[in-house]
Amino acid sequence: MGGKRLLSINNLSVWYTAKNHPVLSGFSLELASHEVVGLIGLNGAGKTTFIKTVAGLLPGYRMDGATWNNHPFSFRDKTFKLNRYIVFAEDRSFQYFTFWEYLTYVSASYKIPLPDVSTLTKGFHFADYTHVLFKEMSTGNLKKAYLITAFALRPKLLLLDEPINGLDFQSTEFLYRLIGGYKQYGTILFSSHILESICLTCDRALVLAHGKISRTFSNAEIATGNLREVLTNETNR
Amino acid sequence: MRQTVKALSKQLIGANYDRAGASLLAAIILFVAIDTAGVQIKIAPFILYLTSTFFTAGVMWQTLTGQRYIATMQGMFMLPFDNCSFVFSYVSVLGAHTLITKTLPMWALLFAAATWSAWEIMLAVLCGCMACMATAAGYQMCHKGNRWLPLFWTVCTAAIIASARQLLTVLAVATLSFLSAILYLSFVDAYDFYRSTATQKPIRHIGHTGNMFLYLTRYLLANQNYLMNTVGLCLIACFLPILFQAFPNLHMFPIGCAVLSLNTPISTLLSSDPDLEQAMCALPGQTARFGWQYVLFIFAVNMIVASFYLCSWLITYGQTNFSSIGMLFLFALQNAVLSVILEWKKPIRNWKTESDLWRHPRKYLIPLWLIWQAACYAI
Repeated sequence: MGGKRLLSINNLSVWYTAKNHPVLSGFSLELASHEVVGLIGLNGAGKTTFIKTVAGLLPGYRMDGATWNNHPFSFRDKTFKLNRYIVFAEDRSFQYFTFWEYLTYVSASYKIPLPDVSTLTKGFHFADYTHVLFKEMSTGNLKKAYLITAFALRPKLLLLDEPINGLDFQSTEFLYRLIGGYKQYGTILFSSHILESICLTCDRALVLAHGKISRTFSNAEIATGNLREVLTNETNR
Repeated sequence: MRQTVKALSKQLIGANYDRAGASLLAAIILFVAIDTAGVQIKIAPFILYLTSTFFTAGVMWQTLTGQRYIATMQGMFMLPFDNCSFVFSYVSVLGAHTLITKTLPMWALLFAAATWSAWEIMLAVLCGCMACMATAAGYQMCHKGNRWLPLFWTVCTAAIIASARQLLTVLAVATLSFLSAILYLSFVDAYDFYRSTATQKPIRHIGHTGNMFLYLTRYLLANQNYLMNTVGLCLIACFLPILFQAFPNLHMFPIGCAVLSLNTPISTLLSSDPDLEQAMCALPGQTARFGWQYVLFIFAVNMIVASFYLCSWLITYGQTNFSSIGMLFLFALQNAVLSVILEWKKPIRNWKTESDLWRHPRKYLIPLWLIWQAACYAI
């Protein structure tokens, strides 16, 4: 992990029903600025739970401490929210907005001018859908709308939950290029089941198992074979 | 058929049918409470039959046209099934859900508040069951583009029950409607109960303004049930002053203002759309950006309804004063602000159908608070 420390979370526990049945337990994480980190794990490992906790959506959590730019913070702090954007795995919000209306609304929420998205809409083959209501879009097009918004806003931290799901082949290739090229603007943490996406784009890969980060791979260690072996071992436990 | 009924029942009534138990318990408590309180009023039997029929029909229609569980139905429709068996399983479960969770508490209220014979009670239950079947049949007819027949059927049923009022006549009408509905449903296609969301070509909206007021207006116009509810409130607003003529010694104007705050659909936006609620929590600055726009929207709708009320009051009584107009404004504003605060802080979760959302006990909090204020003023 190179670069200045951006986000640090120490000993996070998250639960849905009862404290003694946590989904995440002893989860610690550090993200540097300008890096791409992948989060992998089996179904039910807690990837989405972690992302929703950072989004401030889940009330049942406890941690020893968290810092943002080396300052203590909470997930619902306004400053933190203004510097991060999240693309959820399943999201059908703002059904009655078109993409342009959604982008305008979100840009105003983040207090930035309306960004130029021509390259992004072209790359995702989304130009024909920018004036269609979200409720009339397919799953894949909806995912594209949120991804375009994410990369257009360029926040310091992007959290992407299963961003590849629902995308066609060309859009997937374009997304890999966007993720790889995002380091000049900020940091990306994304979860994925597609090992190829991790191997092609990430500086670090974190394996989530038993409620915490069990293994970390960096740079040359990130290879499909290594990741497959670790995940297979987790399955067999 | 048994497996289909079991699967659908668990979906609607809970994995352990706990919602049925809760509803039964609530009905028993309501019955005992009113019976113990000694509240006894005289209700004509035809009112009981009409209420059983049309209240149940309204809830059943809401459930049939709801969107909440369509995604889960997709899985059931994918599997092989016997058409007739599926249709009757589906209608029976939705009907049972409607009767147990919605109509039962209403029956408990009516049965406790007045004295009925066993035949009248049984006929009321039959009217409820008939309403479930007839509504499903009417829904299928509307789906095929035939809106006049169900409308004619509804009007005839209401007219006969209201005018004849004889137990045997009502029994005959209910039985005939029930059997006719069953006969019709025997020949429908089960797939007609599944509604794909992509039914028409997408409309292009050229504007670029991400205005939440525009969003809420589209939301209201797109959901016909919500719009019908608001229109219905406007109609009630027109009739309230006429009804209040029965209470000449009380200042009923504020009571009317409070009653008209029962516009549940527009004040459950976040509860009805968990993804939007998630986005509101995740995006920065939404308390101001979304919250105030939502208050403004509910206030605007309230003022439209209130305008109908005020005009009807002026026509009925010929006069009003500035304090009444000020009260109208104040009640509409209070309702809007409190509704948004309640929706923001305590959204309703774990609901199965839209009628569960619309009839959640939370909906009565603000009207009760406003009625208390109005009662203090009236007295």
